[in-house]
Amino acid sequence: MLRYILKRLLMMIPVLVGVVVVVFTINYFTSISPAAVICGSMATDEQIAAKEQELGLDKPYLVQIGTYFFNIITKGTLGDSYIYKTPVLDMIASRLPNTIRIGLCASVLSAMIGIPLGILAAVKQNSSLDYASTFLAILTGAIPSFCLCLLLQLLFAMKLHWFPISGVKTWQSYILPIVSVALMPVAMTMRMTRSAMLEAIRQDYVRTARAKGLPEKTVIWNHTLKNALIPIITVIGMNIGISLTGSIIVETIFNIPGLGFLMNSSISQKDFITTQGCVLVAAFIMTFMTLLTDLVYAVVDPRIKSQYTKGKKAGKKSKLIKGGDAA
Amino acid sequence: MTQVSTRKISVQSEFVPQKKRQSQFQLKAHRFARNKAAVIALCFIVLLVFCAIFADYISPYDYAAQDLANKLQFPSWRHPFGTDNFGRDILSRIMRGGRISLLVSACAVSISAVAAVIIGSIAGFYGGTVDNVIMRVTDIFMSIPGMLFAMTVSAALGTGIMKTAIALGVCSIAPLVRQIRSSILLLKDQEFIEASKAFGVSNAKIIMKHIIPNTLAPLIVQISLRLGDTIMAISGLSFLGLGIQPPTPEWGNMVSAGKEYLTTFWPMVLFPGLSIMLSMLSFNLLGDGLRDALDPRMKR
Repeated sequence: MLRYILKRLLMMIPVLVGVVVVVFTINYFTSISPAAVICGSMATDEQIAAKEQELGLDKPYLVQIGTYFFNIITKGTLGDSYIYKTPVLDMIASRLPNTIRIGLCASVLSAMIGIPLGILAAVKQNSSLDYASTFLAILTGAIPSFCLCLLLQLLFAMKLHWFPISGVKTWQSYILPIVSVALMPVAMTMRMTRSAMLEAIRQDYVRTARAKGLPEKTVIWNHTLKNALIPIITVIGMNIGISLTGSIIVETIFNIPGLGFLMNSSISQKDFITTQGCVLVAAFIMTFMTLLTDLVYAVVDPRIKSQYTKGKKAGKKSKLIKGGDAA
Repeated sequence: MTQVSTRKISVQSEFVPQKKRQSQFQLKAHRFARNKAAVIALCFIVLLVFCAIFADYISPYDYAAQDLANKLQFPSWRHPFGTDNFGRDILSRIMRGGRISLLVSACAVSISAVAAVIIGSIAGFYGGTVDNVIMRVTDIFMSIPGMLFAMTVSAALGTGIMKTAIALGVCSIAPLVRQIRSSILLLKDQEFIEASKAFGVSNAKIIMKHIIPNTLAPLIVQISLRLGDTIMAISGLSFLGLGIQPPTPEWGNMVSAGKEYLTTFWPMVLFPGLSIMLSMLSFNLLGDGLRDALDPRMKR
């Protein structure tokens, strides 16, 4: 297991290197020179050229990307912001806690609502409850997040005055952003849980469990849900990854100093080195979450765990044995 | 399974395969028609496309005509959706904005679909090193969160209709490549492909004649779902000021303009928002309906 984790961590490195190359290349070929933007519209060509030299933007592509990599590996920095002159990593580190707080709460909330709703919809398939929750899931999945944020803000902050309009001063101010971030994952979790449960509920071992006369509660919780967990975990892991990288729109509307907000403001200020840093950190979080999800599979499913520990052949064998037992 | 049964019949009576094929289509159309939600969604999309194409002829007012005396009017018989902060008719602007949204998302999805079909079929069909390299590259692209990636690309390319389309198209290539590759991998080991290989048919011909037609069904479903997602993404980008810029009307930037007046005047946010929601909903329902209709495994 430990060897597998190490192998996966090592496999993250080429992916992250690739991300740096991709993002750096996109920013390198941008149509606007950051130096020109920093100097303002009144600047002369000489001033812009001097600024470019100062920022190292006049050097060839390979030298620039080489320096960027060199700084990451040796100094552990992502460069200094063009505008604020502070290290990009510090700027991200001071903003990330807000994003993580909102992202984690939203993920927990969406799992707490989505999974029970999905189970209910699957157990009572084709009932009015099933239709209602499926319809709601489709509907909430289609609401543009900026409209939702604006409507929540209008109703609960401006009209009812229950929560602050924006900012992160008190704990109440986190509630509206959390709800806004959570809504889309709720729909996804619910739909995925429903379809995974329906898949599992039709299996022979569930029929056997029922034939044995087990109470329906045990059948659903122990036999069906346990076997439906893998796709549910996948979707939850994906949701956590997305929420942790910050919802740019939610953070912009509620004025939350988080990763998404920093990213958006750095783009509008043409502070591309900060943008680059944000994307890199977000990609790191995403890859890490994928790894974590894969590891949780092993905890939940003994079939997958045995594949890690004994190699592939043993995994197949134990799968067969398990299948035999269930039938 | 379907392939086998089709062949059997064509062997039995050489002159009717055409008819059999048509009935396959009819079967799928019947299956689709039974799904009421999908049919309604399809009707709405047809209406949307019609409005987008003929926006200039059927819209009640000129989408850019300002009438400052009648600004921020609530819905009335004269202006069914009200007027905005410059006195422009919101209904006419939504119709015109729909043209932009549909055009950009159609361009973006075509770009990503064409690229993904080519790359995905190469990866899936040839396998081995080529496949490995392509998959590692898609890993890289997939590890960047979609919205952040779209923002970075469109910040680098600049704003505008074509540039936004390219940005969003490029961003959705990687997930589509994976989908196409996996459906080709499922196909590759089936008997009729093996038979063609045994007959000495060239790889190019196998790809053109067998692989692409058989991956078309999941591709169509994906395209329908992507169209909805892309409309949402365009409006998100435009809302943040990165996609389509005012004065060109686009649903996202209309909402963005309306948010200043939210406390007192809701039509500027509500109607464009509803348009985005309804089109996203219809493309999703259409995609689900198509999947149920085209996938033979779902046959009940």
